[in-house]
Amino acid sequence: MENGGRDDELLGRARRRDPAALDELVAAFSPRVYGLLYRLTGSADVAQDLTQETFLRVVRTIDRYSHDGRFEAWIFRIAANLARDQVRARRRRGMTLSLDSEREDEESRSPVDPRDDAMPSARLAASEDAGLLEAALARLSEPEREILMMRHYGDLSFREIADALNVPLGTALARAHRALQRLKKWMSSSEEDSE
Amino acid sequence: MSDRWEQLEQRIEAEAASFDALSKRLPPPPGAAAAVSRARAAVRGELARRRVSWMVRLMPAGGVAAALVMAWFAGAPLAAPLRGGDDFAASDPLDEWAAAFHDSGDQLVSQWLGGNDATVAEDPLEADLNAWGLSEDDESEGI
Repeated sequence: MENGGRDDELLGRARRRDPAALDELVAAFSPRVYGLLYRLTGSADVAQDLTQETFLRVVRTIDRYSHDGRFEAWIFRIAANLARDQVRARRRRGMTLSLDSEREDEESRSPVDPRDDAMPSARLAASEDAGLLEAALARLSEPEREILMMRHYGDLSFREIADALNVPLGTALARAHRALQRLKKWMSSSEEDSE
Repeated sequence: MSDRWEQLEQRIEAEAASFDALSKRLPPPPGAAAAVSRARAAVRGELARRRVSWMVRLMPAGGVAAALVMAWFAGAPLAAPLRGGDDFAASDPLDEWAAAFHDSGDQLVSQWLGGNDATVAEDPLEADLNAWGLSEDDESEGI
């Protein structure tokens, strides 16, 4: 949604709950919302549930949305809040949720999992660096991963991310910087180990 | 002071931008097609539920059946399917991703890591963040 006039028109139709407009919104945003939720929760099932819930909330509350920024920032804020609630709820039940320990076996298999016998050779060759990156992302703290993933999937600026997460801009910037430094450090040492 | 703050923001934006190209190479998470399909079905189901609920409020009891029939013929599902999907992509997006990553992904990783050795070792941004009261221990108290 980069064209302002078209966005306004689509938003207007969505506010009137025009099915075609809402279909368009789902098509435009749900893959990225799902990507964010998957990386934040580490579970395909949970991420699918929360993606569904995100768009239900969009439909239910879109008439209360005030268009004072980018529409996607609002959608990603809903998704991030749902992910946080989910993580908190699981913690309260004494369960941890992290990318490297909690994924269901089938769903946790990386798309480039070398256990896949049918994997094409290109997929195998691609797996090393992507696997390193995924593993490094999984090691980040939740707030750091949240910032990087909102940037990656939401295409949001740090100002928009700070607004969406309700943290000061400086906090968002500092977390992003430190998260990237940690990723570099971990990936550099992994590369050296493999040499 | 605001100039220095803007500079810091720009430097971190630039640092993040250097990672953007690499992050775009992350493989698509499994189950994306099903998630899209479920979200679409849920939205359609919610719209149908609202439509029926609105008609029920307006109509006398005898009209409820008619409202249900109308909704049905309008093509609106009365209950959203909660699982599965009806529009999975025919081709495997992971294969497409893997082919694309194979061409340039490893190069991107090397560039990203190789071009930042100095910042990993010295990290001048860290000193600036600390100067702005954004130390690692109390970053949430920052600006």
